[in-house]
Amino acid sequence: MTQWIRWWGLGAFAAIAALWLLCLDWIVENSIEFAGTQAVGAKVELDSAELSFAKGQLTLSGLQVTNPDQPMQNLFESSRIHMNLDTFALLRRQFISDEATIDGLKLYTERKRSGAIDGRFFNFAGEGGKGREAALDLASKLNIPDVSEIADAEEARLKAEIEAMQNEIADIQQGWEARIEQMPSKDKLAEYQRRWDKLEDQNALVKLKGAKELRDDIDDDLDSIKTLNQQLKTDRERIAKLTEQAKSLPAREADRLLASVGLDQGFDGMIRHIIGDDAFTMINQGLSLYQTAAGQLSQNDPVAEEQKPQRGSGEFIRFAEAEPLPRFLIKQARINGMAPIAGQNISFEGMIKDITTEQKIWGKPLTLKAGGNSDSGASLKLDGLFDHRGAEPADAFSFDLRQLALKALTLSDSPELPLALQEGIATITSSFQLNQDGMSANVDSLVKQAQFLVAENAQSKTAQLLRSALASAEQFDLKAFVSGNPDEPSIKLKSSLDQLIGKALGAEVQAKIAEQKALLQEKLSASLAQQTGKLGDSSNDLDTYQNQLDARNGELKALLAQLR
Amino acid sequence: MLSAIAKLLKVLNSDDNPAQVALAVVFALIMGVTPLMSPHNILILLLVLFIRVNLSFFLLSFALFSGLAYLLDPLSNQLGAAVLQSQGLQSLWTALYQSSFWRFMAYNNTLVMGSICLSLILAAPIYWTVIWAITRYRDKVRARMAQTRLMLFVKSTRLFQLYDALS
Repeated sequence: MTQWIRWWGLGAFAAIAALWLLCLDWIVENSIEFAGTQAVGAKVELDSAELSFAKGQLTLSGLQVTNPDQPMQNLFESSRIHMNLDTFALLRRQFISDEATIDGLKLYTERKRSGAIDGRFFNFAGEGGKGREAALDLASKLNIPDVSEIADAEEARLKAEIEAMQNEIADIQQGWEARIEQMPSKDKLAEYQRRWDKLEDQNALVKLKGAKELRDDIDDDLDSIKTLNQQLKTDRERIAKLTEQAKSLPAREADRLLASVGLDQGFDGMIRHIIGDDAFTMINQGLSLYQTAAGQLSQNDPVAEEQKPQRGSGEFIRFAEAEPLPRFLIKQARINGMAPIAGQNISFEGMIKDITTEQKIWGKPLTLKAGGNSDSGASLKLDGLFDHRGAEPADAFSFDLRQLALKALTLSDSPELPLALQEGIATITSSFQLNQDGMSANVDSLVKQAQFLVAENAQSKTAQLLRSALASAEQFDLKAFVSGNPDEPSIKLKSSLDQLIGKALGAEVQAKIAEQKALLQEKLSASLAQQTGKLGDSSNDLDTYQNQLDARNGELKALLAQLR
Repeated sequence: MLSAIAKLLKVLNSDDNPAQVALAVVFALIMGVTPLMSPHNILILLLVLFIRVNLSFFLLSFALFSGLAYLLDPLSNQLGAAVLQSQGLQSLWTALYQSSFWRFMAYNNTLVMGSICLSLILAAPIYWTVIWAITRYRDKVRARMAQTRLMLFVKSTRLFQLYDALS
């Protein structure tokens, strides 16, 4: 038996186990960094991790989560995260913490090194974000886009729209070819004539009966021709409508496309042309942060489950449990930290409850409540509920910031139109909702005691007009309306400054918009001229069918008159 | 590399128990075909170190079966899914699911379950085949090979000198 035992092997195994235990913290640290990086799409880094099985505690120090949109910025960092863990749950491959404390939370901090993952860095703003930036490139000092780009981008879609109209008209014409075949033929008319000629030689009784039958048959044919005439009238109207739609398409599209880039509102939304880029960037950053977080709450979606497991990893099958728990759950986390807003640091404290990647299993939505103050008297209040238990998320978030003292806040750093808010006291309230009806968010800002500064070195006509217009503005509001979906949000900005700026720059802007609209319409008309021309000819084809119907109708009526 | 081959040849030509080689190959099969980081492999590692199985054969076979596992993964995954979703076994799997130990063992992972089933199915045939092959080699092939010209040539090479030094 002893020849089968290797005692030193037992020692070697013990040594390997001891080494594993010694490296446990390092393994935990690297596992968190790896899993976090995979989840966020940019580097997640930790200074250290300490796991104690005996106490059931995990402490993470120096956590940094890179903003996937900006590799030189952290979405947030935390100096220390301490958690009480269910160690038995760890054996079941579940991370369950009854209570956690997240200390020193800071949002949007600078990074020393890039947090991009080589070759795998991605941007939540996606193509839509890039498109919006392109649309906001100033054609002059204002955000008027290049019409050639718009026309080129839309050409294929518009041609497809006209092609659909052409197809509908072709279907109508094909239908008529079939209907004309069913119309009483010349042979049938000759047959009626023969029947009548034959009846003329019969006795009065037979003639009377035969004539009635013949009249009935002819009446039926006349009825069917009447029905065809009505159908022809309807089809003629439809073709006329389609033709008109095709002809007016360039003009309608020019209006719609300019509206889509915010050039349809007259003086409304003028603020967008000045601070649009920065406001859009901020809103997109907020949506990007939301998508990063919301993506983690929906990991148990059926769509995700349908994805094939990675090679070599298999799939964990769930079986019925008395009290099922998700794979990741922090029942409640106390948070405290600092939020830099408009150059001020606001200290906040709060509580996040029911943080899990599988809300459907845990059965509770994530809730967030936090509040704080700055040294200068600004107050902050956050309230959120993120419910991903159903097929569609039902998220709501509100943000209330009061008495925020603003100083030297850059509103536009465009070299042609540098604009800053020298001083002001801001109150900003915002609400965000996402449910099956889509996304809806409002940001209401009111700035009092405002003092604007258009840099002295900006000497363009626009800058001079703006400088004198804003000199009188002591108070203004700024509202943002966001709708659509987080991937492609539709953002509208409105402000009490709109009228002020509009009066100063309105004539210049309106002239540019009119010029661009005419150019766009002309370009679209040129690219669609060939197709719309063909549509105009379609109505003529129906005239041929009308003539055939009229002729047959006349012949049948003549025969009927003969019978009487 | 040469010394590793020499060690293998030494084991084949020695009078060591063929079961120790066969068991090493079977352990390598289980460890190689199943996902390496699966908890049951801790037990296999303990057995490999504690039981006097041949480590050279274990390492060589482990490398071989790990490569083979790459090809067998889809099959193992399907097999595991079929076993775990089998209606007749649902009560058993559900009972095991209530236990932290079995959850830790990742029995409910399709790849782990499939690869373990596959390796257990192959374990007995491979064990007896290896024993049969070694016994047959020692009884019939070894003596005949020693007389061939090739072997005479091999005996003049450095590999044989290494092998000779080990024996």
